[in-house]
Amino acid sequence: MSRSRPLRWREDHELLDAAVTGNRDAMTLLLERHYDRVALIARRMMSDRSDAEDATQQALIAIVRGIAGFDGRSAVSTWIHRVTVNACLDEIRRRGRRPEPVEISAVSEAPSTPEPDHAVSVVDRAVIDEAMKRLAADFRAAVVLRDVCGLDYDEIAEVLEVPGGTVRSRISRGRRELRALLGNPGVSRHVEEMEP
Amino acid sequence: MSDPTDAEPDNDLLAALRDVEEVSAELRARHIAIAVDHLSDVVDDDPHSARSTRRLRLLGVAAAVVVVIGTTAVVARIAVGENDSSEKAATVTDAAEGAGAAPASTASAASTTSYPPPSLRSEAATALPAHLVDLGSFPDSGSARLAALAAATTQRESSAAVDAAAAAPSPMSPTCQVPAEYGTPTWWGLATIDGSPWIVAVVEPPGSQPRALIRKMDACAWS
Repeated sequence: MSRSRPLRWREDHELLDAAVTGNRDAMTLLLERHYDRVALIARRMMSDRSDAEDATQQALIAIVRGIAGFDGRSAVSTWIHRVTVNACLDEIRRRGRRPEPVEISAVSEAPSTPEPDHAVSVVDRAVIDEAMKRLAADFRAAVVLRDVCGLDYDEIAEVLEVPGGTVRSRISRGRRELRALLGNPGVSRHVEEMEP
Repeated sequence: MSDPTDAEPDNDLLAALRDVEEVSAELRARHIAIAVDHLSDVVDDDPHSARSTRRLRLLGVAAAVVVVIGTTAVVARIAVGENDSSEKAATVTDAAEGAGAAPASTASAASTTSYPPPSLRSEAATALPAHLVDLGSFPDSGSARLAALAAATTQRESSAAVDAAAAAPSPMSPTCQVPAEYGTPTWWGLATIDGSPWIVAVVEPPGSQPRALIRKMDACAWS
């Protein structure tokens, strides 16, 4: 009998069903379960800690406000990923923080086969942040879901609601640009200039 | 045939991408609380379970009022030396003493709970499942205890909510411990309901608010 089962033992969809009827504890527990993933996506999508905190809040609110519309055709976790990514994209658009132009030479001259990149091994958080900020938001979302969250291509296609080929293309181009940016001294220099 | 750029990034890059600042527990809790506050904007008011949730919360609030009134009345009676021999005697289970020191003040406070109104009694009777009641979380352990006591009182139809009570760190019987997920009980009591022993407990799961539970003791395997 599900009613006598502690909430913590219930599956995500059971918590969501309970939350839809007004069960705040179920809603809270569902958000607690997925909070780390939501915050991680937001942090990498927004490339700035305070912006990420705002995006996390917006994503959580969007999840709560969207539960009544969840149709159950995907896993709850997939749906939460989708809501989170969309919340981040909305936040990016709202703030008008479109990616800064990437230095064309840095990307076009990037080797087709990546070489062992020693810069990456010592890259710090600020450099990663700066490089991610310069990625187009669509590429960034695909790279985050694949390389940060570890989702497979089918899951990413479901989250982003785009064909699998588009997912592969975005990940491929996103990684290529990211490698180029991390190997681009301009990024590191930009970070150094920002530091006090 | 794969594009060489499809290759997974090296481990250093993956580690760097996944290396983000830790979110403080306070911020995490605030984020979640603010989001959950939006739940009232979207829930369906009709489903039975939603009504039950609200009903239990109302019961908890009402119980707090009842307990305060009852405690005040008992204190007043003690002050004037009134003999309360007509009060229905409860079946005393001495588990608290057997388990360790039962603070007299706690046991005394627990036993001074008054009856809730009949309307609340019938509400709680319909809300309690067979072996376990999870009354939900409360902002503090005092509120959780009041809600648990009120529910027990309702079920017992006795003037005393529990027969014995103990506060942490008095150990509970191993056969009656709540699952680890719920955390360690910070307060518990025993109540005989319909001839069976029930445990009334306040637990504080790690990182969560205190919860009130009532559980039948001979149903230790949680269903």
